[in-house]
Amino acid sequence: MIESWNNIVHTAMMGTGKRQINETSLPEGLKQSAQALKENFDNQEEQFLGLASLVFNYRQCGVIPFAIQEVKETKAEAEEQAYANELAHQVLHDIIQEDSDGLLSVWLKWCSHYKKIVLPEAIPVIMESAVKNKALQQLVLQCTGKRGAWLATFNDRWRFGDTQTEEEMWQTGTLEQRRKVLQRIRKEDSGKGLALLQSVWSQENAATKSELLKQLVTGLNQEDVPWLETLLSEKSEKVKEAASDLLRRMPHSSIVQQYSKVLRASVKVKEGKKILGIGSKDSLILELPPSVDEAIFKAGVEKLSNQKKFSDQEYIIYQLMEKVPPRYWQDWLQLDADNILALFKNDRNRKYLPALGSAASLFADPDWLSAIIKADENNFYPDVFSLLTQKEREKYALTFLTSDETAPKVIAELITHSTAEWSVALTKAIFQFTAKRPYQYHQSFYHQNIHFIPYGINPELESCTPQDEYSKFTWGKTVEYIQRLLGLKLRTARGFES
Amino acid sequence: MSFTEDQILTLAPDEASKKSGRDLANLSKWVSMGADDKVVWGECKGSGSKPYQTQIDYNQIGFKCSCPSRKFPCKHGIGLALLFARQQDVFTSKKAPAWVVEWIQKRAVQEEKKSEKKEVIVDEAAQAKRQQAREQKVNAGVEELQLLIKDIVRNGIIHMPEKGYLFWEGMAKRMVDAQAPGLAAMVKTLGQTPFYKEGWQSTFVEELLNIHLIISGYKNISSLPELLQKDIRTWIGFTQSQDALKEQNGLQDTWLVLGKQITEEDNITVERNWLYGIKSNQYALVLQFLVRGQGAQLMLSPGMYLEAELVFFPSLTPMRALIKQQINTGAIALRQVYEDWNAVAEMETTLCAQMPVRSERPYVVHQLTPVLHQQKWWLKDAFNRFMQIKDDYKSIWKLLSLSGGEPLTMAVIGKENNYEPIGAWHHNQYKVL
Repeated sequence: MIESWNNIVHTAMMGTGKRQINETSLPEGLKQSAQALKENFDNQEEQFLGLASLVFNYRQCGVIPFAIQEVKETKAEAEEQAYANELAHQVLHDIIQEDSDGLLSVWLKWCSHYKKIVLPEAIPVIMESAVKNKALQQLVLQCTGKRGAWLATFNDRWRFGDTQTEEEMWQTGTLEQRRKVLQRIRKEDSGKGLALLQSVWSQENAATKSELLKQLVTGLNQEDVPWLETLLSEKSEKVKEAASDLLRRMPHSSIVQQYSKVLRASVKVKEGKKILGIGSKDSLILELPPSVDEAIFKAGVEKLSNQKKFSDQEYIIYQLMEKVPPRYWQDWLQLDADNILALFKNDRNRKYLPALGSAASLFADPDWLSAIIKADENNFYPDVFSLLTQKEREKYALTFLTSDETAPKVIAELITHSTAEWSVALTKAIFQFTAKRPYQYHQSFYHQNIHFIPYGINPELESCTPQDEYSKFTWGKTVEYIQRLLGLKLRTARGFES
Repeated sequence: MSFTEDQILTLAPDEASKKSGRDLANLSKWVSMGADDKVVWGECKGSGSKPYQTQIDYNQIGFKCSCPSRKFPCKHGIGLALLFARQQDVFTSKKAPAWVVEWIQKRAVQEEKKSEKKEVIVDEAAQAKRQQAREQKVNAGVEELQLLIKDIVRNGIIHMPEKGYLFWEGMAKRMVDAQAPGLAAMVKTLGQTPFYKEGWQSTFVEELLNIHLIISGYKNISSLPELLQKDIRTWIGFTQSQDALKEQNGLQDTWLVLGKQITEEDNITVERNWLYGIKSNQYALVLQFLVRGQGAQLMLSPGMYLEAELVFFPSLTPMRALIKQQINTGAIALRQVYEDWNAVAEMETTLCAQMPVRSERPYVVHQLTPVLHQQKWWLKDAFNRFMQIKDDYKSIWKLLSLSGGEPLTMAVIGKENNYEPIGAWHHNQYKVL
């Protein structure tokens, strides 16, 4: 039959002017009809059309289903968790229509918290959301159950979980997979992670070496230093830079010791004069020594200042202060953090305070960071955020949200470091700033951060209305939008709690 | 009586209405709400001092709202319906207010008037003259089209991809001028052959032969059985009086709306609503043509069950139907379906033998499993026989997710050996794909 039809199509391609149907290819059942058609129609076109129509319908009438041997079939395993209820799915449907990853993550967290899974018909849509937004992937894996895992076997884009063993991934995986393996092992046992990297070091190219080396920042400790020091003589600049970057975080590394030596030589305390027991305060003099070890300039210190308020010499000192653990000052000056910081609270030295903040952040010293933010209330130290608890972060953020200069940075840092909903007070302070700037903070800002916005902000939204007419108008529209998103958040909670 | 949110949203005239409707599905927007066994009503805060009065007839599916919107149903109707779907318990008032009672009464009177037989005075002589004039035009159009087909066949179809849009549009317009809109549509379909795809030649020849069969049938129409004559005239583009049709007795059944396909043709939205009669095992196609700005007469949503009387257009293979009257109802269990692909193939053979020129049609088939074989998706029946799923099928992941590798009874649309599932029964509930 296929042959007959192909014959018809080939004839049609060439045209009856050039080719005729090969009647020998016709099925037996049609040969008599073909003859009759030839006799009834005197021109080739009509004969062709008649015969072709016959073959066409013969083909249509003769369709039978296929019998395919050896089809590989699999089935999804039975689910172990219960499905989320209908109410929760109704909200999910609306959240998907809203195209809000923030709300979707809220919904998935509730789903995971109650150990529920989504209904099968919703799985493809949320899988696709997780393809676009990697942050959702673990939650999606938790909430799609056995059905999701089975579907992923048909669709590579949905393979978020690791199906290979760690050993397999380390040996044959992509760079991204190997990075994850190393990171995980370093978290668990930093020595084991170091040994793993050392075992493959000689086989890797420079690009891979530098990327894998960066993962040693997880669990970085003194034991890593000797090997990292050897990498300073590697051929590849990328590898050397990656190694240097790690060594700069280690107080006892040769690099930091180099910086520390020069900085120590630059620090002098001038005692204040005392008369009859009453005297002026001690003062801190920061001056580079006449000769400076040139090695520090090869190890990341710039010679020339790029800031107006620092001369070249001052800038060198500033950079050294950023790269030396703040605790070293305690050893040098035999003073505690608060007293050391007090020495910086004058017009001459105040500009160096941010360098101490950077050092405290680089060497992960929360005590020093707390002391610095207490001592320097005028400067915003974003690095503090990663070391503070949510409550401390909010308290610190509130101080700087009233300033036009610092508020945008504060908001950006809050978004990066927050892991839970903001308090109503913090949200109100943020909105009082953003409401006045509708061009900078339009609806997409609230859409993307809805998971941080608490439902309790609802009654406060009107009070955030700005004064100028245009901002007032847009804020009114924004309030309606926020309320709609908050409504979905509330319905999510109710959906799971019911 | 209840609808799912998906069913409600398919009634929305556009995306903006869906979005606005969702915004209004919020208790704080409504001043009052109520429902009895037939109607749902509510008063929604608007920009003016007086709230908008919105009501929904759930039995005969109809919307009314006092807002000035020209969209139908308006956002208030959609919002109220969504709210009712989510939280029926907040519709505490059971006694319909006067404005609701008045509307329902008016609707009942309108329905009565529709079912009354209309007396139409016809000038038969003028009508016969018009019909004769039309037949002549159609004959001329048919002759012209036949010449074109013969030219194509003589010269070969190899150069067809070069013809361009204007060539086919021109010929289609000539068929419209010949008062043969059906032939015009077939010519357009021929011109829309995907010439960039491998195997376009086969698709083109099939469509060419369809046209040839119709015009040959038309030229010999008097020698054909009556129902086949009606089919051919329908393909040409002759219409039948819907009023006259509605006066006939129809088929009463519980109908499931299997699916809806929407296309745009010449600024008109065409809805193809596929229905399945649960008790009669009859399939039906209910068409609705929507001009922008006008509301829909029919409110059919996939997954909806309705008690309705359908009248079928006369045909050898009846499919197209009109709804005489309908009342929404709850789901009922399936009774008889196609057991396997062989049964479907047998039906296809029967239908092709009766009428070789056919469109796709639906089938409800028992226990089909979607399987992947050689990078293509197939549907396997209970006896390990396979039919291919169409290449561009968009809902494969939803189907696969519902199935999980297990068989499902499915509603499919297609012909010969290519089908696409439009719905499936999952845990005894019909899920639209």
